[in-house]
Amino acid sequence: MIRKMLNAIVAVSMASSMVILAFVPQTEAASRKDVLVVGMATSDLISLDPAKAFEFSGVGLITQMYDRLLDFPPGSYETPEASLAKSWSVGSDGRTWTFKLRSDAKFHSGNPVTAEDVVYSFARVVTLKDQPSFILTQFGITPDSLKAVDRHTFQVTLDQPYAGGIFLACLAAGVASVVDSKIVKQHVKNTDKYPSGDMGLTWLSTNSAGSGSFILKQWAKNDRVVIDSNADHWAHVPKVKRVVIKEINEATSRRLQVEKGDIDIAWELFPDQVKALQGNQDLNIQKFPGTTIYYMGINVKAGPLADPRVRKAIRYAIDYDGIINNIMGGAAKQINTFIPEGFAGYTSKIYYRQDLNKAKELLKAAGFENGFEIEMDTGDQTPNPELAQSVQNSLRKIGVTVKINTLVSAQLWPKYRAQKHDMIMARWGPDYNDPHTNAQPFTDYTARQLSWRNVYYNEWTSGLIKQAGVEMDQKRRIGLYQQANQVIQEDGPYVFLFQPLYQYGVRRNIDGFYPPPSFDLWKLYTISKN
Amino acid sequence: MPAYLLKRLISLIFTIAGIAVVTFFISLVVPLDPLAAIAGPQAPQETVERLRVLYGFDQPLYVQFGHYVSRLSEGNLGMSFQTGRPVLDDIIQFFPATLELATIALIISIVSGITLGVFSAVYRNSWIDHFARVFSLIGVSMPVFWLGLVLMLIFYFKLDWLPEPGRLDIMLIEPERVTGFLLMDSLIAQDWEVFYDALMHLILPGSVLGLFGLAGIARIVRSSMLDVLSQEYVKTARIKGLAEHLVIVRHALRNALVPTVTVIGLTYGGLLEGSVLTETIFSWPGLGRYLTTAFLTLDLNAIVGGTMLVAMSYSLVNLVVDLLYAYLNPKISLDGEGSLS
Repeated sequence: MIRKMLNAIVAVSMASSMVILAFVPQTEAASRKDVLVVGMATSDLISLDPAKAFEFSGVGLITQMYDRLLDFPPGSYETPEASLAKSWSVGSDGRTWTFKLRSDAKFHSGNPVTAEDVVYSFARVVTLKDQPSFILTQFGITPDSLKAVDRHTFQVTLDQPYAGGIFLACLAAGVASVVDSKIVKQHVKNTDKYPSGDMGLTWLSTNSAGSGSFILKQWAKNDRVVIDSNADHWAHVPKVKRVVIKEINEATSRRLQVEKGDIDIAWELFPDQVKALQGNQDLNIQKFPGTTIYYMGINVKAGPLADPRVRKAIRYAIDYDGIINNIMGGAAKQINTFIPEGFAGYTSKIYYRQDLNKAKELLKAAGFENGFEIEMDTGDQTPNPELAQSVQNSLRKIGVTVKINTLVSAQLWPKYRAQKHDMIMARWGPDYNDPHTNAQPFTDYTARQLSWRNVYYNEWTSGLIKQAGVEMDQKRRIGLYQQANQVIQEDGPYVFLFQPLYQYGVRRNIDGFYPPPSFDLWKLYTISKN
Repeated sequence: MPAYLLKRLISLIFTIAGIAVVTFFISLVVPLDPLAAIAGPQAPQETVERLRVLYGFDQPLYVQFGHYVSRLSEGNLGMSFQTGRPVLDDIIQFFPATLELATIALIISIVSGITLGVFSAVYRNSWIDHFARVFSLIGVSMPVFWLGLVLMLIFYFKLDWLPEPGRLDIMLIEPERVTGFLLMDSLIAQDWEVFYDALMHLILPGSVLGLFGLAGIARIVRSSMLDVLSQEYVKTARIKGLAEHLVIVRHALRNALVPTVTVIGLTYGGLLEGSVLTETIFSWPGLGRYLTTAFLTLDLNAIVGGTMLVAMSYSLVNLVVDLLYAYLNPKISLDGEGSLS
């Protein structure tokens, strides 16, 4: 009797485990094939509204869910190409731009994309005036300058002529994404901050109303974002059915999970992890220079730093190779221009290598052969404190004593903006994809950006950048930036350190991955899984 | 008892109000500009100034405080700068994940702590006692960050016994949110696959966090057990011929638990606020990470909301501990003379 019962129990448990085993792995295998899982740090994600998002992860996701008038093709970031707009022209006044829209584009709701939607999308941005809005308002765009000439013709009038290259690059930025006005208008709310209607700001933060290659399925904050393929996209239907962006803030954890195959792409691996993955047959490590530039700002207001020879001496004293190899583990590239690699006008020319004798000579010529004492502010996030220490060591060798102040960002940036620093360890990332976004802050003090913060009031470079800002000839415009860069390298208030290399761990069964310089320039629709 | 409870709840309200006032002033007197963190390093000065007006930081301090108090009295914690949502919504979103993790960790701490404590007391100065002491010492002294990664490497990466970090497998979709506790929600939805998966995902982070609380519990159980085991009534029980395990569990442990309850209460509070690193390593979408970002970016409303929540959790846990005290030791009275107020 007991034996019979035991036999029955064994039989039942074997049968049920077989059913479970047969069922669970198969469903998983079948669906995982169509799902791309990307592990990355997305804790900066605040909003998925194109008018508000200004963080890498936010703009990156918007890129997948929305189309713009123009866009950068995958793997190329110099010139934007036609997207929702099939053609464009500028009037003889140099201010009126007309865009012809393609007629086959549809939003995820099924509504057609019309010129009215473009007007509404841009009007939202310039009315809500959130962080990224300056990318459009810098051209003097107001709701009144936008016009739907007919169903598929959109016109915008700028306050003065601007270089076409800059304006078009800005129209390819995340903030210029086109939203489905009919849907968004249904979700307008009156809030404390916007008592007369928030133009859908609250709703669009966590929902999507675009025409892009992907549709937002789920955003579980601090956990994952799930986007589904838009099979009706007019050109770029994704090759996978779903993409899950899984939040993994810890780089070691990203490495373990990509190694194990739980994620398909590990976003941004650090040198330690890359070293550990070397030789792994299941993975590719792909690299691309990020567009961020690490630099040191020098306040030229008074004292020794006001003398261009001292600034040059500092530039010669820095141990660039040591910084790149030891602090960045080789995952960086020295740069001597404010235009990052990947942008038009980038030059690989290096003006400064460590030369302590030259540095000492320059200090002597400036009358500081006995050195001096100076303070340097730095943020508390790696690698900035380490970079500051390296600079401190290097400058000690030429007799300059550096006192390092490590500050949190809420202390650091107000101090920088108030011009109260001596030297500062900082970095700069482009706001949109055109050299102007870097040239202007670094060289034109009237923009009250980096050049102004470092009290470097150079009329000549400022004039060059203003001229570039209205130059319609792309080649001449780039030439003006390069001219300004020569002055900045020779005389300017910066030490340019490096551009970091972004390294991605990619499973071998992933095809069509173009390593982007940042998430907002990444096109997920090109990726397939075998 | 009801009078005691009422008194405690009234004092809780005053505690929370005090914390709200103190937190507000501490966050305003620190020499930091929250706008700098909100606007980021690149924003032009005009944007910073516009945001200052939008968020009301241009107003005098007493006006800001007035707004703050009137808002709080309506139960409105304000908007978070970092998420752009009401702080209360954020807390409701993130707190259950932390509470679930801390509760599992506490269960692990209690079960293993009491077991270790009892064994070390019963086999005092034997190898079991030494092992228990070393083990609990490792629990408190090992950096959570390191321990988490090593355990992940062993149990997830090498042995494949436990799933990847996160709260749920990437292919599974959360059941409809009722309580925010994944285990409970999946039970309500009768989604066994999600329940099992969520439970497996809890084991590693729960153990890492639980190890932290284990040491305190094991030590207090050991010392109170030693104390109780030498009492006359335990000897009497033995003389009466009661089986040794019954002597230990029924007579000794029950009395040894009274002081342990206090430590457990404190441990629970500590686990709730101390899960920051564990949450980071295990990609856990909880309150710890939310608050860390809030502190780093000076997200004032979120800081105040979070601090009040932690204070409230501590006070409630303390209250529960006091009530348990009375239950475990009938000699303690909560009302009248000699009450524990």
